[in-house]
Amino acid sequence: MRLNRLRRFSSHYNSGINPKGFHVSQLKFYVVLAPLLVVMLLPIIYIFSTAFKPLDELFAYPPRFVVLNPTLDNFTELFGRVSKSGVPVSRYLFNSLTVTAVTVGASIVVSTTAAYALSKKRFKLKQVLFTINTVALMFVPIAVTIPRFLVIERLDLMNTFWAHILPGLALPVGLFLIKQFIDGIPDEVVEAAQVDGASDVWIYWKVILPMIRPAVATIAILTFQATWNNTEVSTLYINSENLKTFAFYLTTLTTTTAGANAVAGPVYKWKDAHGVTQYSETPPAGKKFETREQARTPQAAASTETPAAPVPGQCSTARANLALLDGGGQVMQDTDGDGKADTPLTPEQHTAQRGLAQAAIKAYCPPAG
Amino acid sequence: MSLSSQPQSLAAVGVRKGEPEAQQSRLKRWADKEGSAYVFLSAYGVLFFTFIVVPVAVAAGLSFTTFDTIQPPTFNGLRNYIALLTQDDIFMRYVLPNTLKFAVLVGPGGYVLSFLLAWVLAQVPKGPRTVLALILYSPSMTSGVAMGAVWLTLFSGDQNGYLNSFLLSLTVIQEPVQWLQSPQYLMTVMILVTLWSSMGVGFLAMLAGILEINPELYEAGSLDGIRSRFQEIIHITVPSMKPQMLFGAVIAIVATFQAGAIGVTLSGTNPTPQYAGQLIVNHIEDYGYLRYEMGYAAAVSVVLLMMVLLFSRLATRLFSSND
Repeated sequence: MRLNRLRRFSSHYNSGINPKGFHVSQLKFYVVLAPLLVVMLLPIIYIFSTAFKPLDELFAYPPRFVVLNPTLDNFTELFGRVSKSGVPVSRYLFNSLTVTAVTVGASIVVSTTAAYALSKKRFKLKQVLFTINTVALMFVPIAVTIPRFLVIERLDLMNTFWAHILPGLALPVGLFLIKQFIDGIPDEVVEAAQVDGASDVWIYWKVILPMIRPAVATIAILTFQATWNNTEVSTLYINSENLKTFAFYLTTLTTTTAGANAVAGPVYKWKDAHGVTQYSETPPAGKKFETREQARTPQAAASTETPAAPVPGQCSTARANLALLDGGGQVMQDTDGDGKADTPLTPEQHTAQRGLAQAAIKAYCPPAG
Repeated sequence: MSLSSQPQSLAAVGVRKGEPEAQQSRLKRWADKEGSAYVFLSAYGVLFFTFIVVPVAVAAGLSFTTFDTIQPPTFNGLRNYIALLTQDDIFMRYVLPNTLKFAVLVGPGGYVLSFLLAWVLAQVPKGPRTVLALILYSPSMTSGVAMGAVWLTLFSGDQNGYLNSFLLSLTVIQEPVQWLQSPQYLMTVMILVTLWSSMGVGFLAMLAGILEINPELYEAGSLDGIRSRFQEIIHITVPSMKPQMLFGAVIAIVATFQAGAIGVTLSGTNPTPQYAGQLIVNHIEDYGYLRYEMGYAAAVSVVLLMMVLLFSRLATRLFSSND
């Protein structure tokens, strides 16, 4: 209190760190922040404004940033919509909501219990385990999607809700933050409860949890973001369209070619609308395709159109094509400097052709040492 | 410190009398004393082991094999690593330089930006600060997927793209630019987009750290001859919030290497046009999921994890609190 009263009369009041009120000297900070805030907000405003645009405004030229005649048509269309494989959009939304709710709840329980043990319990491995977790802060999940795929396959979690929930629960950042927060609670509080004969569960539930609400909120937000925005699980670990999430459905709407997963190795093989043979990680929606097993066994591959024996001519052609495609993307783009019809098609065709060449190399070339 | 004497005396009992009774009571005493801690840890421990430790171990193991997911992996020693260093032209010519360029600009760039913004926010009163922090934080909440649609429209290659339309109207450019498909612009767009969404948890932690610093330190500093706000930052603010600085740095490093999908999202293809936006994460996906050379992809994964570890060690060295 005394300090506050003193600071009130010092020249630093309202002009230093964490001021209590407004001061003219703060104006310069607002001036610095203003352009940044505009940059930060514009894309988000854009997404809201575009969501309410009627069709003619969406394709108007020159494009307008702000909507003139807002309409709810886009939303009614979205929720009345059925995905290509006959799954209604509400199902994706339901999946997302369920998965996210369960993951956030479970992750709070898992991290807070572990953090309580690491912070307030006394046991030999305590320091070692916390150090391991601190090292795991540097863990990059995206680097190990392939081994995770193998683990999930081995545990029979493919095509289940568990594949959405379990991998995201152990969040080293979450444990780290909550542990630091519990460290801030004096040991005497826990000891007093122990003297009163409280059990560990009671202490955790009645003493610790109510005191760490801000940290719990933090980890809830982190987990929510990670789960709600996650598309990888739906792409890699889930084949059944019924179990995929809303974020995944969005990718099917926004990307013309679904990035890394549209043209994949010989897992699902099918013909697209242009009659081009496609390989994909996920089953193509509403199209005839060869199943994973068929495409994978060499005999099935031989019976369709790819000879099993190495064919040198085909191989070198495919290699040349691949090299051309990898090196010559520039040529394709230079041709459409003005046009807008062929521009969105080019990367798609490029990818499709590249996939074809790769498949041909796989099929025709002798295995490289 | 007083704790360490107890386990020692327990062990001494066990050594003196090897009879089962003593052992049982030792186990029981251990369970009474430490058991509940392990029960509390068990759920996290099992999940941590299954989805973090095992995958890292499997990646390390697979990196020494040839594995195409059809036949069982066969051991090939260091062949993958040697191929990565000597034969993988694309990795050396595009992926590694791209990754380093991206990491250096986005990592330290985003980090310094986070700190400066947190510092500026700390100079305004609580009400506006909360609103402004929320606005700055909101981009990091958006997902790459949802924003993908926005970036594709903003940077669209035809004259309907917002940026093209805007620049055409100013006659800065004469014809639409292929922002996302041309190799010379893709990387720049990727860096801008990632910086846009980089004010995340690390930023909030640093803001909290700045606000927690005892104001008396600043008063003491001004008595000790600190003249400018810049000197104040260097000599008081940063040294007083080293834990938050370190946390922010680690988060920034991880986020930087994790942000591999952005190039593929923006350009719509993997590989990106002429490998212009090809990052190490895309290289892993290219080999793992497109070519099914899992052993090789695992070797690249291990290299990625080592890079993150190395940079994080550097950050720790920089901000370690005991100096």
